Amino acid sequence: MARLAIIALLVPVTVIILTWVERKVIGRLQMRLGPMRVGPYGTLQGVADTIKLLTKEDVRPQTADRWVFELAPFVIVVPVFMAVVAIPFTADLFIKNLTLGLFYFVAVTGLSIVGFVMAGWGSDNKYALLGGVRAAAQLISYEIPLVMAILAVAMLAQSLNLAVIVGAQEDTPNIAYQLLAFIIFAIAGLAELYRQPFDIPVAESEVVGGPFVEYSGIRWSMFQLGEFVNLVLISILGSLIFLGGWQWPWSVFDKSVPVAAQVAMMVVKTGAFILFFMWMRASLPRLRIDQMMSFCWQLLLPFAFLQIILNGLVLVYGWPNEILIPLSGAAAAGAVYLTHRAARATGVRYQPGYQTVGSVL
Amino acid sequence: MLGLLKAIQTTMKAALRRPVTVQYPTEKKTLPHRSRGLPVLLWDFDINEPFCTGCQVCARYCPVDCMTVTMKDNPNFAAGKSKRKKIVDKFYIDYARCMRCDICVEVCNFDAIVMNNTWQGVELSRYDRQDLVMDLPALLRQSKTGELETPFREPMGVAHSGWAPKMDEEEERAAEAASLEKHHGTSPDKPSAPTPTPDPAAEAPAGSQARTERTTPEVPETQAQAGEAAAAPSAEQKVAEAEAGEGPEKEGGEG
Repeated sequence: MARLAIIALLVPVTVIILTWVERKVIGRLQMRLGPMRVGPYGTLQGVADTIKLLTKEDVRPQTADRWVFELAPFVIVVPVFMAVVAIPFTADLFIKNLTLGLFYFVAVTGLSIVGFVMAGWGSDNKYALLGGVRAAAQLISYEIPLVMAILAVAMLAQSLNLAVIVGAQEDTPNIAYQLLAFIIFAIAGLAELYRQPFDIPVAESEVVGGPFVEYSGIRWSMFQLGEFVNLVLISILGSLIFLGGWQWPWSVFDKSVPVAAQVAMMVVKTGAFILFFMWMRASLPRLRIDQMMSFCWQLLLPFAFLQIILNGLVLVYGWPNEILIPLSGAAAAGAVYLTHRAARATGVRYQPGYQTVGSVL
Repeated sequence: MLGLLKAIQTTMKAALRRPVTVQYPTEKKTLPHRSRGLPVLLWDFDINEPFCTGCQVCARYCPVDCMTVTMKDNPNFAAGKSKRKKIVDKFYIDYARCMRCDICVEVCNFDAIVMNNTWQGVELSRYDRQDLVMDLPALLRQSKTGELETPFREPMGVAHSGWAPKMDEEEERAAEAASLEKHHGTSPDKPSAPTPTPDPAAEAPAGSQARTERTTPEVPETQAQAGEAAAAPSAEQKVAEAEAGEGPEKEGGEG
């Protein structure tokens, strides 16, 4: 219980810090300074933003569906916090070590689609509705390759328990064996978070913020909270199942790693993931909705299945795991090549005789 | 696909560079020498008076009519300290109106007005538009206190238009001598003096009281209105000035 309280307090603080970090990082990637005024180097910017959001008026459109509108932020935030429960931060530091931790995580985070659709529908706003539907389409589509990539890892560890999966990566992190699954996870995770280049549901230049159009003040900040906690969660999950979690590489500590070192390792790996997501956000332009869809269904999903088939072969025939390194690597290279070919075809897609983006495979 | 990598590489390179942002109010970029802020007047430290003679050329050429200038007899001239017969009396520039066209600087015969090349020439937020009408002390303040660090002020006839290269002192002297020779057929007495107003002083008759302002015999009705000389600077002014150098003066109405 005490752990729950600590986590419940720690998570919003992390989010407040993360908003500042994100603005700083994006700023530096664009040769700006980012926030500099509030506190030294703008460190208190997140606090100031929070106070501002909390004190703002909570506006509800007159024609909005009251209960759907007002409950939507909770429907997004609650599943995200529920997922935190199943996350082990180190070998001993966790709230609840579920045997089906991975399954629970995927099942619970998938619920937030409902929140987006509720926000879109309840706002009684065309843009919000459009954004909500886009969010549902995108989230459902990318959930599948994401889950498949996670499943590939679970196959290798023969467990859905996150602690066991991390324990199985004592010698080599899964990223080596499952490069293809890792790439699919990173891309699908990006899409799950609605971050650029997958910010189609919340695209400001297309649907002016999507489901959040009509929200303000504390309800809007709850959406933001959910988004950032989700960012942390996906990053933690990625570092747990692909990067070896709290394990130090090359057995630096000889089996008994101190808790502080484990936490530090987790922070480093999660931070790397978060920075990767921010870096992508600053680098890549938004995809078109049909590109996003065809990329998911025609490329990510088949390749996720390919990874699962490869893993299955290794498991059924009892081949050594090392054989997965070249196999998965080659499959990843193939995926990259197909993406490259499809991207090249986009420039000439209206000329007769050329294949369109839709026909990648 | 390669474009993706290129984009990622570009942001990475940008992140490794120093940010271009400057924390403006606390940290300021150095303005270029020819930065064009709003116009200010210059102070002649040799004689301790403004360079401006109040001749109103700038006011006449100002496309937006943002200037008002009046002229008076120069007390320093009477005391024999200055070569300027006339000196500026009142000078107003409405900074809210000025469009920084630089024409006043180009037409000034005495290099008395420059475009402010410091931050004070730009940072002019006021609560009231009236406060943007600058009077003579305000216009001279920066030059007088030396705040105008490198005033955009170069020898007349050499680099006046703004794009000729700046000369060093010897070249400057040679150029000045050459130009004087061309005009008068004689070399100047004091070649080193960079005085911008050689002509009116040199050509003025010795006994001149230098009080002519704007009276012309052809337009007698202007005498009645002479009191508002400042309010209506016009073509008559030019005529009066042209005559001032030539011969017999008329009594001005400025009294």
